[in-house]
Amino acid sequence: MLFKIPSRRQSGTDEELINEFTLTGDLDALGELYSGYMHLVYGVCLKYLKDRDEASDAVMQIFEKLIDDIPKQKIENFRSWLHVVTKNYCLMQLRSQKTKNEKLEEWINDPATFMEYNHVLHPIDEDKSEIDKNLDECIDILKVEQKRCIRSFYYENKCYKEIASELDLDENKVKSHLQNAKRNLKICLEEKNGEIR
Amino acid sequence: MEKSDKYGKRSLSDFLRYRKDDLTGKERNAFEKELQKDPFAEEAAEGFSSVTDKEVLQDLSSLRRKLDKRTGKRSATIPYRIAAALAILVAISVIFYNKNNIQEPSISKNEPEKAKIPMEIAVSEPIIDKTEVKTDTVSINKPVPEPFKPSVATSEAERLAVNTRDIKETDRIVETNDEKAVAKDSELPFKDLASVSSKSDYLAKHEEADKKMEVSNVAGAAAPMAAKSRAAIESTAPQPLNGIDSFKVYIENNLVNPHPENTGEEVVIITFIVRTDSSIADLKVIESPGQEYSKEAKRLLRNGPVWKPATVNGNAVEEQYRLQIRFK
Repeated sequence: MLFKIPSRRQSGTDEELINEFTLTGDLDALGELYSGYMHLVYGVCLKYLKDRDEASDAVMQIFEKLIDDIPKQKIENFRSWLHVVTKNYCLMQLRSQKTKNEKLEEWINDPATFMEYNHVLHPIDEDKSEIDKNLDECIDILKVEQKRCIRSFYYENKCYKEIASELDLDENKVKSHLQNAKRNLKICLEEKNGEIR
Repeated sequence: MEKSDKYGKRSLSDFLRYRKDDLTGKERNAFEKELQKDPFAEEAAEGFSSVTDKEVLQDLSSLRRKLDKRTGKRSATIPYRIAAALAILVAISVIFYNKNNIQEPSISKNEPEKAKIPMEIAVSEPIIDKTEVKTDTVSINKPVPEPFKPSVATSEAERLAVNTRDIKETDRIVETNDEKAVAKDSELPFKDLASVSSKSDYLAKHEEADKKMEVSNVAGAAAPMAAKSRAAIESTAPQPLNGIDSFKVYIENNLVNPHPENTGEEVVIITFIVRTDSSIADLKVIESPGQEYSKEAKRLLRNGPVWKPATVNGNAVEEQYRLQIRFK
């Protein structure tokens, strides 16, 4: 126990740590919670800010933000909440940098870019042993390339790289096919379930 | 929404391993599926793709330090009395430490390098903490077999040895040390001191041998209080990126027993060096019931989490590590 860092607590669950922090204001609890996600926060910051120093600064700034924000909010799923906080922080950062790139500006200012905090798994990502009949039908009507990507990835368990070489595509193209396919599947499924919104 | 628990936190080593390309297509697919479920990790993976492993590790360890500093600031509400007691302890230890250094020349005049040695003992002290883990699944830093046979113990030496023993567990090395020590420094006022100086004496004499290993063993047997008080040099041992606890969980989850039909427990001990760039080198199997076991132990280590190098006063240093893996 002493082994890690002196005075480190036994790690609790996210909820326990959040509760402890909210009740006692103990930064140690928050630090413990945050350190488990720090590499993810850092990675996301790198993705958006594209600079190691800026990303590192952002990681610490976001921690400061948590100190203020956590007690004020009811957080059900800290992981996805933190993702939203991180992403939005980076976008704010970019916006304040007033980038010259107009396209980027446009994208940043699009309200849809900012994430909302509602993390719902895509049906295809749910671990189900049985393939949903509806899902199967929806996959069937996908465009050829999307269909092949979905089948290879989810049913033949092939990685991006393998799929890319099989279909003679770029890896990123495979990813975007998957993403588009999933979007289409979602729409299709909602229609089937009569939940058109 | 227990989802986050179910999917784990996606440790950094997972990302680094995924990038390294030594996974099979199936393994890659499994990780990619996880990423599909987990937009947070997916974005992080995209971010990592622009920098090298080394840069990631560097930045994260400096961030961890910053975070500790930040959280340490306010949690430093230790009552003043305790703080004062600690300060006194440190002061006393510094005095002892110096005394020890001064006395040394009289103990062994003909050893030119002894001045360095107390330093090294202090450096390896945090390893003591590891001995506490000894009984767990993954236990580290078991004493190496004694390199030479102890001579006949004098009664005085036994007394000393007993003293050491009741402080903590006793390595045979220390017993021998004490025996040797008694011959020379039996008048020393502090037994603890006596054993320390005799250790350095011992080390000086066996310089050709793998010093690092012996140092850590000697330190492993030292009294915890003595270790804490001699805190002039702050050092940490190498450790898995997310700490030893999560490493244990990793071992438990990934260990494949080559002979599951055997009901007994088998132990593999390996040593390796954790370099300052977190790479692992010089992997040696010290003890193993057989090839398959050694192979599995090596595989676990290679595919396991990244290791953080040992540090001395915040600077990364190369250090050997001894890992024990139990097959049940």
